[in-house]
Formats: sequence, structure tokens, C-alpha cells
Amino acid sequence: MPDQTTDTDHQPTFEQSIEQLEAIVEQIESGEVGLEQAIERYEAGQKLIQRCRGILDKAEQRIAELTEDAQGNLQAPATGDGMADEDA
Amino acid sequence: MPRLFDESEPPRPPEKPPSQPDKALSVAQLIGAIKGAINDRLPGKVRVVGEVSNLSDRNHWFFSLKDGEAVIRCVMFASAARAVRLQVRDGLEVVATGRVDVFPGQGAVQLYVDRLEPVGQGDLELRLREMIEQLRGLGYFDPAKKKPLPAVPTRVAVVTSRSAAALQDVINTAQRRWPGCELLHLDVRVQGESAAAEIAHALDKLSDQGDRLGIDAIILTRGGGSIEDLWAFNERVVIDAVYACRVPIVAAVGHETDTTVTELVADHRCATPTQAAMTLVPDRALLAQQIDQAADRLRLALRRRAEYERQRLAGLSRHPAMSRPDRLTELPRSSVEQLMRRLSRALPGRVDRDRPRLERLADDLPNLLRRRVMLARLQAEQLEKQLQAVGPQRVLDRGYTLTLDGSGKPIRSARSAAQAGTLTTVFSDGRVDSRVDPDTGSGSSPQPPPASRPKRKRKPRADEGPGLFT
Repeated sequence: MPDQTTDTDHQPTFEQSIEQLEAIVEQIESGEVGLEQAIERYEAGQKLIQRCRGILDKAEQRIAELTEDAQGNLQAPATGDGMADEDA
Repeated sequence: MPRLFDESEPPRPPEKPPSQPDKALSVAQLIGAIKGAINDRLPGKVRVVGEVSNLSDRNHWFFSLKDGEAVIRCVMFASAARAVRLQVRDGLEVVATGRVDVFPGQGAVQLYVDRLEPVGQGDLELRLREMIEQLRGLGYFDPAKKKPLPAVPTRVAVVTSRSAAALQDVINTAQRRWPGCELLHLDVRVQGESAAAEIAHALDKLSDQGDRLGIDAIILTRGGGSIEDLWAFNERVVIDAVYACRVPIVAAVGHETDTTVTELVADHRCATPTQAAMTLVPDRALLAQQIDQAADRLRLALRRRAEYERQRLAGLSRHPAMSRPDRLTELPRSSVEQLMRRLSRALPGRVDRDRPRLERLADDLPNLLRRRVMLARLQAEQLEKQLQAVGPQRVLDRGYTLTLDGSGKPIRSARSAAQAGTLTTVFSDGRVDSRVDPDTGSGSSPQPPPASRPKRKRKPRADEGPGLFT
């Protein structure tokens, strides 16, 4: 039940994606991985870039009201599904 | 905050009294002159400490402020009086803030009071300074304690009043910059008695459950107001909640000129709600640029890497080992040639050294051969004699005969002879052919051989020495 609104845990955030990209670029440039691996890394990097663009392209501003339920848990009624669905 | 009226400079009478004393003024003119003098000589706002007396607090408030030496009439209109939070009664020492003016109807100089504060705890500014010093000692403002703000938050909680213009400012700004950033509004009162407790509670909840809700940051805000309006943000319970909150907080309380302790303790302080939203919500265009740059770098990195590998490959293929594999044998070949040269140089020396032995061998060779041939001949003669001694001719000479079949093979039994049909008997002096009688099985009268038989007669058998008994 407490997981219903956590969708940010599974996928790297925008920042984490950018950091991973930096690391990938570093690996490819430094030659610390073989050429085949470098190509694999490149493809992984392309996926990260796509994911970042997907995050950016969410055009709809979402404003939800946080309310506290009887157990003292904060609830955000309209959230938790939209972001997960939009993940490209 | 308006300063206390500076008493070291008491209002002096106008330097020039109304021009001619003999010229009579109307009362109104006099009052007007007094008003003018007060306006000229006194600041717009004064703060006066005194004891309340003769309080009449129906609707508008009327009272006197007095100390040991003097008294002044005070008026507080209903709008201002409603904001007074202390229990005002006669004898209470207060700090009154307001402007001095003349009430023409009574010819009285009065203090028109905007604000009443209790003395002692009335000086908010002083209290504020004391608190800030105390918190500084506790490390509440330590830059090292400030949490970094997320560069790209995906969920931001906005803690403010639903009706506040500040909320709309935050929403509009976020919308303009990056609609993808989700805002979660948490409604709290931002002024009045319960405000501090509500704000503190909201922050505690967010600190506990921010992770679960995926909240990256908090905007704590309200618009401008008087220092009393903003006072909740100077309450210790709020300050402690801000300090303890595990989610980074951007605070923007009041106008830029107002500073609350909450803002000092927060991880980031902004002048206005709009600025707070700008600080937290990244500009979509900038993010897009960042991604484009990352994509470029990635492409470039792989291309550079591929180019590097290509050059490495080219370098390797230019290497003699790859481009002229025949040269691979050069070293061994040259060493072979060297060996051969050494050999050819060494050989003559060796021959020279061995030449005498060679010549001696060459001299000896003919003699050696001759001896060998002689020896072989002697051996051969010896063998011939031995052969003759046991040879068939000798046996025949002694009177024995040898019987051969048609094909010249010796016959060693009567049964073989019966099957042979034709027999040749060898004597020491010649041969006799005979025919076996098939009826008796034993040899009797010779019969004429078949036409082919004579052809098979072998005359010269006698001189065939060797092989007779084989």
C-alpha cells in the first residue's frame, strides 16, 4: 500500500540518467572497455537519452492536493499512475 | 521597522511665531498651524512606551498613554484594534505605534495608534535577534547542514495556504518553466494562531513520507505581510521542523525586505514565491540542451573511439608483419645465410687440416680393393669345390639316376611317378624318356608320348648344376 505512489524508485531520475551518461562517455573515451563493450555502452546511453527526453516531454502540469488520511499518511490522490504510464 | 521617536530632539516651537502678534488667527488657522508644525517636525510614525489608562474599547478604542510626567490621548480605529492580540487593560504597559495628529474638534493632540505591543515581549525585532543568536550557536545556519537542491526535481511539495497568491505564483512559474515537474500542494494556514503548528506538522509529515511520495523538494512560502503576519515563520516549532526536515526546503516568506528565521534555516532562501519556483523547477529548454549535449558527447565519444581503433588497426596493418609477411622470414633467412658463409669459410680450413689423412686414404684405397677382390675369389673357389663334392653329378657318376616328371621336377615317390605319365630318367651320361602304364600304375613298356611331349624334352639339363635339388 505505501508503494502506490512511488514510481521514481524503479527508474533512474533525470539527474541519475545524466550522471550515468557522463560515466558512459567517460568509459568509451578512456578506452577502459573494449570496442564491442563501448558500442553496447553507447546503446545504453542512447536509451538513457530517450528516457530523459521522455521525462522532459511531459507537457501537462500536474497539481495535486496532498491530504492526510486517518492514519496520518499523506495521500496524493491524482498521482502515482500518470508518471508511471508516461514512462517511455 | 519604524524607530522609536528620538526623544533627544524634542519638538521645538516654530522658530518664527506667526508673524504679527496683533493679527488675530482663527482657531482653525491655529490648529492648521499646529498640524503643519507637527507634520514638519515629527516623523510619520512614532513608537511610544506608556501605561494604558481610561481605556474604552467599544468598536474604536480610546485610551490614554501616560508615564510619570505626561499623558497623551490615543485613538485606535476598529480595523487596527481587531489585530491586537494582547489583552489590553488599564495599567498595562505597552508600546504604541502610530502617528501624531491634532483632532480639531477637541483641539487635542492625539496619537493615532496602528499597533499595540506588550512591552518586554513586544519588541519582536529584539526577540528575533536574540533567537537568531541562539540558533546560530546551535548551528542552525551552518552552511554545511544545508541540503543540496535537486537539479531536476520531478515532484515538489508546496506548503502554503490554498488561498495564497503565492501558490498561484509557484504554479504559474512552474508551468512556464517545465510542466513535467509535478507539484503537490499541502494546504496550511500561514498566519494566525494555528499557523505555526500546522506548518510544522506538514513539514514533519513530508520529512517522514517524502521518500515514499517521491518528493524531491519542498517550497515553503507565503506572500508579503506585516511582521505579525509572518510571525509563524519565526516560531521555534516551525524553525525546528525546517531544520530537521530530510527533504530540502526552499523558503520564500514575505517580501524581499522581510527576513524570517525559517528562511535563514531553510536549505535555500528566495525573495519571492516566483523565485522559489524558478530556483527549483528547471527550465525545460535548458534541460533539453543538456540532453542534446549529452547525446552529442556520447556520439562523439563513440566516433572518437572508433576512429582511434581504426587508426590502431591501420597502424597494425602497416606493420611489416602484416603488410610484408615475406619479411617475417628475413631474420631467419639472413641467419641461415650467415651460417652458410661461416660454413664455407670454415670448410676449407677443415679440409686443409684433414687433407693428409684424405690422401693417405686415397693411396690405400686401390690396394684395399685389390685385396678384397682376391679374398672374394678365393672364397668363391672354395665354395665351388664344396658344391662339386655334394653335387648331383657326383651322385650320378656313382651310378644313381634321377627321375624327373614332364615338367622337369624330380619325382621322389612311385605314386608321383604313376601320376606323372611321362618320366625322364637322368643318367650320368644322358637321359631316357619313358611312359608310365596307367593300368598297372607302374612303369613297364614305354608308350609313344603325345605329339607335344617331345617338344617338352629338355636336352641341356645335364649342365644345369645348381637348382637340381631345390
